[in-house]
Amino acid sequence: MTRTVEAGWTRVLRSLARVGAALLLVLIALPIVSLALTLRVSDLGDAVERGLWQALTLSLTSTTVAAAVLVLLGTPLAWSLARTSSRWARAIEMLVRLPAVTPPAVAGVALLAAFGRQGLFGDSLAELGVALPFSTAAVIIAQVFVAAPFYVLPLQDAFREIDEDMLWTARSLGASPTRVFFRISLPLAMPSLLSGLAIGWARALGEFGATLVFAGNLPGTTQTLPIAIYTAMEGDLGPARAMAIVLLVVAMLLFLVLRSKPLASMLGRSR
Amino acid sequence: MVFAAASLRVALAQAAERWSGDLEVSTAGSHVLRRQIEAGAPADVFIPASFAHAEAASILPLLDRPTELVCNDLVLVVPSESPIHSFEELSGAQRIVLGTPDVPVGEYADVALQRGADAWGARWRERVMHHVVSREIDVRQVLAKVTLGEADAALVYASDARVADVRRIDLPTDVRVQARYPIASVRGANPDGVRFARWLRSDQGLEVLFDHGFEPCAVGDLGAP
Amino acid sequence: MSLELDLTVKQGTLTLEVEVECEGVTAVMGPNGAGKTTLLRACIGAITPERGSIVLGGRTLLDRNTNLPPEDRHIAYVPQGLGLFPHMSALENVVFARRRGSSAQKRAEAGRLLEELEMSHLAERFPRELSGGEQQKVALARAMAADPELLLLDEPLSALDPTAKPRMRRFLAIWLSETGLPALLVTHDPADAVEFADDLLVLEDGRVSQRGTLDDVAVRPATEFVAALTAGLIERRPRTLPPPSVVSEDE
Repeated sequence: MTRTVEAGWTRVLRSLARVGAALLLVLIALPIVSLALTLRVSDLGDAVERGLWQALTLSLTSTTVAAAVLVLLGTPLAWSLARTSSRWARAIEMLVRLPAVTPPAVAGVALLAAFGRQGLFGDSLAELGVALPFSTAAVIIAQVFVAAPFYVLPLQDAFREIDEDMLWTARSLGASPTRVFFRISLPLAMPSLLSGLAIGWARALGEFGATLVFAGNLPGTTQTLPIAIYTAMEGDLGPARAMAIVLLVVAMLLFLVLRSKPLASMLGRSR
Repeated sequence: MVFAAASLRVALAQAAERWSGDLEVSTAGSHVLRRQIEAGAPADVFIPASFAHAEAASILPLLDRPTELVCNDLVLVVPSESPIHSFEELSGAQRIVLGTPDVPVGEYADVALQRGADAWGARWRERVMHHVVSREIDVRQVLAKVTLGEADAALVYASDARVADVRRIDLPTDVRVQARYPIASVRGANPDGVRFARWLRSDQGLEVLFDHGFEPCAVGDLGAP
Repeated sequence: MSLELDLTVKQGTLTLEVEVECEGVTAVMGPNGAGKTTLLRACIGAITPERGSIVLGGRTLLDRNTNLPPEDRHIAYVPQGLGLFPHMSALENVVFARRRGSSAQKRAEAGRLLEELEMSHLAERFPRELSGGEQQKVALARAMAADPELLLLDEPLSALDPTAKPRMRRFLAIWLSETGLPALLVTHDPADAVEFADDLLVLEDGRVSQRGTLDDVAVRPATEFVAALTAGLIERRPRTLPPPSVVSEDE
C-alpha cells in the first residue's frame, strides 16, 4: 500500500516539474516567436534605410575586436588568478565580477569618470591626442568592460580545476612553463574558454546602456545594432522588429559556431 | 491618468500637487506613450511633445480633438565656462550633441539648424553637422553629455536647461523654434481626467507650466513643419 | 649515480628536515603526513625549500645560488594519480616527454618504449579507456621517455585493485632493475619495499627516523612505527637463498 502512495507522489512531483519547465520555456520562447511572426518583408527594407547594415557591421567588427582583447588579456588574467591563492587574488576576483552586477548605465558613467574628458585620465589621454567618448574605441572598451566577467571567471575556474600534480609532472618531463600552458592547460580548459567567449561575445553584442552613455549614438561610428533598434523604435515599430530579428539570428549563429563540437575538438586536442 | 512627454515630468508633478483631485502622471518618450495608448492603456489625458504624435492616423480616432496647450523653446546650452555666447557661434564648437531625428527634440534641432542655414549659409550648417558627435535618444542623455563635460554644446528644451548647471543661450528671433505641446482627452476618459485637462489649460494650470520654463506659444509657425 | 639531499622544507604545519644520500632504489615510508610526498615535490622543484641543497650525480640542482626549474633537473616524477594527460592518447603522452629529434623520431622512440611494456596495441587509446595497470605502464614509459637521471614514484601501486597488485609489483621490480636508474619510491606497503628496494628511508613527523637496508631495519627498529612496519618482514623476503655451498667430500 505504501509503495503505491509513494509512486503516486513521485508522479505528481514529476508532472509538476515538467509543467514548471514548460512554463519557463514558453515565457522565453513566446516573445521571440511573436517577434518573428509579426515581421513583414517591407520592414526589412525600412530597416536597411534606417541604417541596418551600418549598425550590423559596426556591431560585428567592434565585438570581434572586443573578443580578441578578451582572449589576449583575459586568458593570462584567468590563469594568474587560478594559480595564486593570495588574498589579492580573491580581491581581484571580486573586482572582475563587478561589471556583471553593475547596471549598464552606471557602468557607462563609470567609464566616463575614468576616460571622459573630465575623467581621471582625461588629461593624460588628451595629451596623447586620444579622445575616447563618442569614438568607436569607446564602443569596444564598453563591450570589453561588460563582457570581461563572463569570460575570465569561468576560465579561471577551469584552470583551477586542472590537477596541479599533473602540471608538475609535465614540467619534470622537461617541458617549460610555456609548453605546459599551451599543450596541457589551455587544451584542457578549452571548453570553458569557448563557452565563456560565446557568452561574453553575446553580452557584448547586446550591450546598450554603457555604450550609449560612454560612446554616444552616431550612425557608422557608435550606433551599434542594439542602439539602432532602440532609436528605430522612436519611429515605426516595423524596422525595429526587423533589426531585432537580425540581431537575434546573428547571436544564435555565433553561439552555434563557438559551441560546435568540431571547433572544440580541433582546439582542444593537442597536435 | 495623464500620459505626458518626459519634458513635462517636473512641471506636472507640481501641477498634480496644486490640483485638488487625485492624479496619476506617467511620463515617457512621446512615441512610447502613443503606442501604449494605441494598445489600450488606461490614459485619460495625452500630452505629447509634438502635434505629430497626437494627429497620427493610428491615434487620432482615439482622442478628442487636440488643442494647443503650451510651448517650449528650443535653446542652446553650453558649459558655464564656454567661450560660446550665441547660436551663430555654434559652428565653432568641437563636440555637439543633439537628439536623434526620431524624437521631437531632435526634429526641432534639425529645423533650427535649417533656419540657421537660411540665415548664415549652408557652410555654417555643414560646419555644425561636422561636429555633431552623437544624436541621443532622449533629452536627458543629451543634457547629461553637457553636464558631464563631454559635450561643448547641445540643443535642448528651455524647460530642461533650467534644471542643469549650464548656460542657456536663446536662439535669435529669425531662427527661433518652439516645440508645440497638444493636449487631448482620450475618448471615454474618466470625467476627473477631463476636468484636469481643462484646469491645466486655465490660467492657474498654465502658471505652473510657465514656472518651469514653458512659454505661451508665439503666434506664427514656429514649430516643426 | 647518487642523490644528495640536505633540505629544510616548511609545508603548512609540517617542517621536513632531511639530510641523506641515496643510491639505487630507495623506498620512502612513513605514516600519513610524515612528509613523504613533500620530499618528492621538493626534489622536482614544485616546492622551494627554506634552505638546503640537492645534488644529483654531482650536478647541483639546488643550493644557495642555484634553483633549477623542474624541466632542467632531469628527474621524472610519477605522482600518485599518475598525472597522465587525459586529452592525449597513450602514445602522445609518451611523445610529450621526448625533447629531441624530429616528430617522426619522437613517435618511433615512444612506440618502442610502449612496446617494451607490451602496450603497443593500446597506443591510440586514451587514459580513461585503460585499466589501472595499463595506465601505470603508460606513466612509466612516459617517465623513461624523458631520459631522466632519477625516478620519483609516489605510491605507484595504490590505484590498483588487490588482485592486480602482486603482478604489477613483480613487474615494477624487474622494470626498475632493468632501467638501472636510481629511484625514490614512496609506499605504504612493506611488501613493495621488500620487492624492489635496496634501501629504506623512514620518515616520521618530518624527520628521518631510520635509514638502512631492509635487514638492518627489520632487525634493529629504531621506533615503534618502524617495528610495526617491518614485523614479519624477515619471513617474507623473497630473496633467493644463496646457492647451496658445495660440501667437499673431505669435510
